[in-house]
Amino acid sequence: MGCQLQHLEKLKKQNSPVDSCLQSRIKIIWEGKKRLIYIKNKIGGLLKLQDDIATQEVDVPIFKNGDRVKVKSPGEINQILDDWGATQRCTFTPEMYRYCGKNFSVYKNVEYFYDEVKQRMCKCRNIVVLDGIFCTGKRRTFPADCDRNCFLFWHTSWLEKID
Amino acid sequence: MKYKFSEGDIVQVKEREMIAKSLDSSHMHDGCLFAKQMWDHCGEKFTVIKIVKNIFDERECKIYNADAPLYILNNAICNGEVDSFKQRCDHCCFLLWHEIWLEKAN
Repeated sequence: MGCQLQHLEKLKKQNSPVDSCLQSRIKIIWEGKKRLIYIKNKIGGLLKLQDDIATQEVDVPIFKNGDRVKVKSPGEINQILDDWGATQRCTFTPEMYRYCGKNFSVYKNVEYFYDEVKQRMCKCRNIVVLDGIFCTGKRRTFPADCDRNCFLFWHTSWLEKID
Repeated sequence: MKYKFSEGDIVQVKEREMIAKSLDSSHMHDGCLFAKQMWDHCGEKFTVIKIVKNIFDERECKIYNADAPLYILNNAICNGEVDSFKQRCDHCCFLLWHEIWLEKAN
């Protein structure tokens, strides 16, 4: 017996051809937008003085399950993000900014997770999920919101321990 | 699609025998897998936190309507222990519950 994620295919109602075509277009726009942001950040970085470029070592704290943590400010987090808007390939999504400056508990350290895109188990490091922080599923460009309520993945460098 | 329960409703997971009757040879009902760990929740009460009407498929990057009446329940989170996985998954997904496996709690 497997995991429900492996069988999501069977739970989907087929989209209409028009809807499917429109959503395919959204994917292309998304990919293009991602690349544009990358180019913008890359050029922005090259134009800055060498000292300003985010070359500093990223501080990667280690947390235990149940630790109280604070999400760093948008300014601090932006300094840690690379040109793709990610830290060690963990993306900081726009909806995560609303949690900046707030306190939460670490629900779990993520060492392995089932990657739906790759369809296999993947190892990761420096990732935690926070208690009660779920994806809203809202994506402006899509016709409906996702109701899966997934935990958001947080890179530990975006967080600081509080007493 | 009509839904028997609303968000905030207290529901009880049906007893093993009743759920077993609803499952096919692949341990599914309407394409929804009744995972091994879900047996542990039989008879327990939970609050419905969301009706799963739409599912985002990460692989295709598309949103789909769910083809079955599905719910997610408060604190019913996958523990990551799956026979086909060598390692324990830490994804912490909410388990998906088909309406047929639930009844309104007294």
